[in-house]
Amino acid sequence: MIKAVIVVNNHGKPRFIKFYDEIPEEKRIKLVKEVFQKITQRGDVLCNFLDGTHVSTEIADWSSDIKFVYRHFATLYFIFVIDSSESELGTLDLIQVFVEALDQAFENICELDIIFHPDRVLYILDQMIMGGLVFETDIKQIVFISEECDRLADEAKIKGQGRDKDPSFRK
Amino acid sequence: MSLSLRDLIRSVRNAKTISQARETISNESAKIRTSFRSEDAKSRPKNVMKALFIYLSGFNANYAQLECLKLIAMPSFICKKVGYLGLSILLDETEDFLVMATNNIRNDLISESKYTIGLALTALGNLGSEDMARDLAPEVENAMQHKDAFVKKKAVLCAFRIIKKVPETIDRFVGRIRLLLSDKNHSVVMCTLQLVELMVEKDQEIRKKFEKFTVGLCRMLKSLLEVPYSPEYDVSGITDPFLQVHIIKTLGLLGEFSQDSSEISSDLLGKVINGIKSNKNVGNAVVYEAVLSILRMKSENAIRMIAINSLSKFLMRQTNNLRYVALNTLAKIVKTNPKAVQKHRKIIVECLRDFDTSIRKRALDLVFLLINEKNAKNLIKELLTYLFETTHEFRSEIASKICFALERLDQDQKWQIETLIDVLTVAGQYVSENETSKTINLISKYSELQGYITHNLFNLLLKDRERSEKLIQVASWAIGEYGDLLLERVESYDSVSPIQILDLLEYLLSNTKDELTRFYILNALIKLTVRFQTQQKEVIERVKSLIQRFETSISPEIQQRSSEFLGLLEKDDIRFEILDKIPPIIIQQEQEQESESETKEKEKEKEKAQIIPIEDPKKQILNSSNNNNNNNNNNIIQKDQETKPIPKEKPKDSDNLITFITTPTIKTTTQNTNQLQNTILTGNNINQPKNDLDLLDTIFKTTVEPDKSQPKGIEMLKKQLSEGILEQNQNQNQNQNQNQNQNQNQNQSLNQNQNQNQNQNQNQKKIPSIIAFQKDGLTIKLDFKKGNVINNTIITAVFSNSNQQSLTNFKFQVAVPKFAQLKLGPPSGNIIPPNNSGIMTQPLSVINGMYGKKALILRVRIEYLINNTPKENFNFFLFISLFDQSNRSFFGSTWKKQILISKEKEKEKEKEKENSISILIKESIFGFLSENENLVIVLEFALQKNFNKIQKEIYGIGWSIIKPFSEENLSIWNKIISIPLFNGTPRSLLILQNPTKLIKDCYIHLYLQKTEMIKEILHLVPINFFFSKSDNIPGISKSLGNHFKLNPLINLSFKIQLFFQKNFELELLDCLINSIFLNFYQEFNQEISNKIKKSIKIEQRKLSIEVHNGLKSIRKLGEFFLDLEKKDEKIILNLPGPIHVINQIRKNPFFVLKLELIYLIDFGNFSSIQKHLEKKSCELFCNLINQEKVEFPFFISISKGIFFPFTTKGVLRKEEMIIPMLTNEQIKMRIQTNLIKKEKQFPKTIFPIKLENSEGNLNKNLEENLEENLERIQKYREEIKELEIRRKFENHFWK
Repeated sequence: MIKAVIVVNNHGKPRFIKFYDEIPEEKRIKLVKEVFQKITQRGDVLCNFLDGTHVSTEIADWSSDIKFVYRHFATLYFIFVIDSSESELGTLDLIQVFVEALDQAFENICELDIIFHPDRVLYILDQMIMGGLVFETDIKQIVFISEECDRLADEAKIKGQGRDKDPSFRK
Repeated sequence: MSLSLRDLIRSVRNAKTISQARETISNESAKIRTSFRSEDAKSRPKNVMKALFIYLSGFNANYAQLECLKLIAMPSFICKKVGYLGLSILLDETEDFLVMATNNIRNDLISESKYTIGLALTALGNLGSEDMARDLAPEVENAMQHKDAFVKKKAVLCAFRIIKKVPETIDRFVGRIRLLLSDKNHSVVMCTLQLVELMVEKDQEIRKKFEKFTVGLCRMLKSLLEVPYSPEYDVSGITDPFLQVHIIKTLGLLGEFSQDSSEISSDLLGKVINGIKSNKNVGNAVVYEAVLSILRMKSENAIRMIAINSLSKFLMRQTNNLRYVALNTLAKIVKTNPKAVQKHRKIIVECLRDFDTSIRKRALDLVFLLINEKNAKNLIKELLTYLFETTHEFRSEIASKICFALERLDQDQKWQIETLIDVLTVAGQYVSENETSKTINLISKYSELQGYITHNLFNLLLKDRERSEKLIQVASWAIGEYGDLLLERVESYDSVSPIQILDLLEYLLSNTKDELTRFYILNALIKLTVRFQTQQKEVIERVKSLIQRFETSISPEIQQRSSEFLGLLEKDDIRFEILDKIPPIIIQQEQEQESESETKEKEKEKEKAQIIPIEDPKKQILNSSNNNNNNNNNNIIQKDQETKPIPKEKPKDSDNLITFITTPTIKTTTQNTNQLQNTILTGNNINQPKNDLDLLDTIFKTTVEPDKSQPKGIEMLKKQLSEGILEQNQNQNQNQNQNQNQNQNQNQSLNQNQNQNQNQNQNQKKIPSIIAFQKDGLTIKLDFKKGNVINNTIITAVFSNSNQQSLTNFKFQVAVPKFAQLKLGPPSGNIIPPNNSGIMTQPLSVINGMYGKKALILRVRIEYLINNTPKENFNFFLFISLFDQSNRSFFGSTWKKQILISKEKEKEKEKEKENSISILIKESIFGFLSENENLVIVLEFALQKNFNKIQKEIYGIGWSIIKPFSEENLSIWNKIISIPLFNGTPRSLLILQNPTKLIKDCYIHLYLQKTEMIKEILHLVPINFFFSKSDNIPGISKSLGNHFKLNPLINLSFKIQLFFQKNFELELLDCLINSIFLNFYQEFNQEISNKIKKSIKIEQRKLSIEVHNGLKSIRKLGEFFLDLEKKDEKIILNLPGPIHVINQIRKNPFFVLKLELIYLIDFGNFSSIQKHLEKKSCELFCNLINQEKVEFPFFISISKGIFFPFTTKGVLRKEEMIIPMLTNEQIKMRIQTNLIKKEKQFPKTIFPIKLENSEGNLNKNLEENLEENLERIQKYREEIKELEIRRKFENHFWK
């Protein structure tokens, strides 16, 4: 199971966070902060795994064998939190897929894209991972679906402009 | 107009400060909310998006939750998309809102658009709660059959979540798996495999059912491996590695319990491992998964080897990620496949030098798992070199792990000890005390190595003296114990002379700061005095001079120890036995953990034993008997050794030696008993000769490791004794009074040592009976008889009671060491009749399993009740305080003590009236008062009601006053006077002139006496101070009769030099005036100050010298009037008094000498102001420790709250004190004005207050009156309150 996906920039500012477990807000913040600190302390030469035991933030649902698998791309850290059922090396590949998908969807992704389009990032992630499980790793498919959805949404928008009022929820 | 999302993000990002950003956001939030309220459907998606952004920026946006639900319900796709997005961000599965969405999601699940279905499935997969899962399961099942793969894969994962939330739905989905697995779309298969993994883990039956998929899966994997290139799924040269990984994982799961499916798949997996030759991460991920699956499956050893070998290939790569996973996996399988892992030991050890701490740590863990008997030497050698190289954070862990590993293995001892020493050398500061003690333990065990090891340690220290404390500790222990071996040549080490050893120890001793290390070295020094045959005198002299340095150490422990060592040096008769080599230390496993100081040696035990008598004189008896015991036992042991070759030697006198140690202690509660027992036992055990130690070990688990339990025990003992004394007295007295009488008397430990040298062939000698216990009228006599078997002793315990009451509920319990067997016969009863009119007996039979080797020890516990009456739960207290009538204030110290009031009728008293209550107090109270007609002694009686141990309440019964010096009462001395008891508390004196509320017919009868009793110690008793005979006053011994006596040792003189600087007193006055009069004159200036100064005159000054413990004055040494004329001169005072006390006290760092300069000042015209001030003096606290110079804090304070800090400096020399005032000295100074202008020269009147009653049955009456009293108390409290309020009001008014 993937427990969470965290994207943090080099200064520790969280850019995108998705947790697949219900975790109180303050714990999320604490965890992200601590993981970021721990990861930045490690040089880029070292292995891309951080043991859950190194992180003191306690999260009730998470057992002790969670790992933080991370990759550093330019200004961003992509951190996947996984439990023991997930392969560490496989997760590294998954990060690669995620980043490539973003790259294709945004055409040369940069930090600003994530800031301005958190919805699209989430949508792309939703085409890869659902409820902590990976279901699609084909980058083309991922990008295609997200683009298709955008197109549909745009169409709906144009259509919707013609309609004055929404029939539902009227009092 | 509200902003667009893009503009909002931009403006927030452009905000220069956080508050600016916050402002923008709160403005926008307000607009969004307004828009929501107006049901503006058109801008709803936009607004929700903005709300989401606001939420993601860390602000509250929960108001948008409902809007999300509305959006989902809308038909348009954009609305749905935003709505679901908002749902997944703003809500979580615990939210109640979500239930409202269920229906909408259901509608969407059957929508025509696959994207809509996709959205709904995503939401369900991410957020679905248990209820939703149950409700929507059928729809999801349908979606799994959808024609589009996009919907299928999502539906499969939804099923995953549904099964997780509601496990019973599993059956619904099982049937779909087969079809889904054969789907063409890789993603669908991958999702399905994940579902399979879940199902297989959840249900064993399904696992079996699914085993048939193995073949198909293998085929699929094979085709994936063989497909040359498919651009669709290619990831850096490998076709769909994600799918491969999942197939492999599923195969592993299926093969975990099934031989068949393992056989089918394991070959293929082997191929995967060998076939993929990718240097990239992707390939490795697949290989790694294959390895994991193989290890999980029931695969053949050959294939397992392939798997493990590929892990070692990972290790050899320079990629950290691979090393990490490989080490992780190896650690998991090392238990099941130790041999295979052992093969790669070298590579693993290499990983210890990796840059990455995660990898190092894992490698280290693994290495320790790998250590076994064969490779231990090599591996530990590796680890030792690693220990040298590694960073500090790792050292402690490695060190303790090495020690642990050493312990686990049964290896060559020499190597073992050497390794431990190496560890201590390298990482001494990182290891716990445990390791030191383990090392010492090992050294003590192997006598043949001791010489070598001691030499080794000695040379280590000789080479480099700046070693870690731990190493020094071990070394000095070894040197102390086996110093004699250093004088011989051992292997390559040359012999050393005693002087060299002492040189080294001296260097170490003077250079260490660590207290524990000092203990060790001091111990070594004292031990060395008996180790050498030659140069003994020189050694002793040298050791003496070294130890003497620490006799005045600041640490009480070291001080105590060194002075005891010095004492020991004087006692040549016992020194050799005490300081003998200790036998190998045997530590039981469970104690090891706790015992921290187990390495402290036997000497310490002895010292501790010596501490006990200091704590309580009663224990002196115990100790002396212990000492005897020691000696005797030692003798026996020596004889034992001598006579071993000739076992049938004639028995000597001491052969039947039986010694007892009795330590009776009385406590009221049984709970305490156990504790006390233990502690006392500890006390005793300590005094046992060494050879008895292990024997004791076996009896008392708590004392197995004497070193360990001891400090604790002693501490407890001290504590209990200090608390106990009071209780004890009380108890005894209570016995006398027969008021309360639950008295559990118990607890003596009794050691019986029988010599085993007794000749078996000789006729059995009659063993004399012994009195085992005699206290409080109870006597226990033990009669001995030999049983049928040689090692059997039949003992009859005979109890008799000389009290006037019978002892009931008598219980006699006996414990023996483990090697002995005990049969306790039935007692003849449980009541012992009074006045020795009868006896009770109880037989016991003891078989000593170690007959001839170990002496027999019995431990006895006695419990009984005297006068089977329940415990009185009332205690009476008497408070005596002093009150100044003219000044209306209490002063001096209040004496408070529990008192015993006699119930007995004293018929000879004629004054008794039928209805009156009188109080008789059985204790004489002494006081030393300043003669002043305004002085009033206030007596207050209080009753303490004990509800239980903790809950106690004190009620005032009544109070009374005596005016000892007033004119009309001159006749109070030496006769019985009757004083009425008043209602309420003495606090009413503060308000009223005289107490008014009399308690009817209630009198105290007092017998006041001017006595010579405390004449001798008068100068030691502080003025206005009460004490009773049971109070402990330092330095004063209570000699026989009613007289207090000074400790006869006190007789030395002391010289003090005082310098008065020219302006000191003027400045003092300035300061005084400033501080006092500033309060009274709003415009206080120089003029007024001068005016005041003219009318103020110093009348007298005197110096008082006291010994002070920092809190209160302990004893007064003298008072001197200083000539007012002599100002700038040196004043030399010869104090004739008990300055010797100081010499004694000098050793105690807590005592200081307090010099107090007291000024009597005539305030002339300003006398009205004086009322606020009492006395003025400046005090100098001199520390008496033998530092040459001492510096003091200094301040002047005035009682009514003005505080003037001064900074001055004082210098104090050992023999003379020079007090230059106010320039640059530090003096502690307190100025208070005294009301009494011309104090008389402290006339001394001594009298004991004797309170006696004329009427008995007090308690009974008091109890009857208690209720009434409580009422009165309540009433009075209210009165006081009222008065206080009134007084406050008046004060306020006057201001």
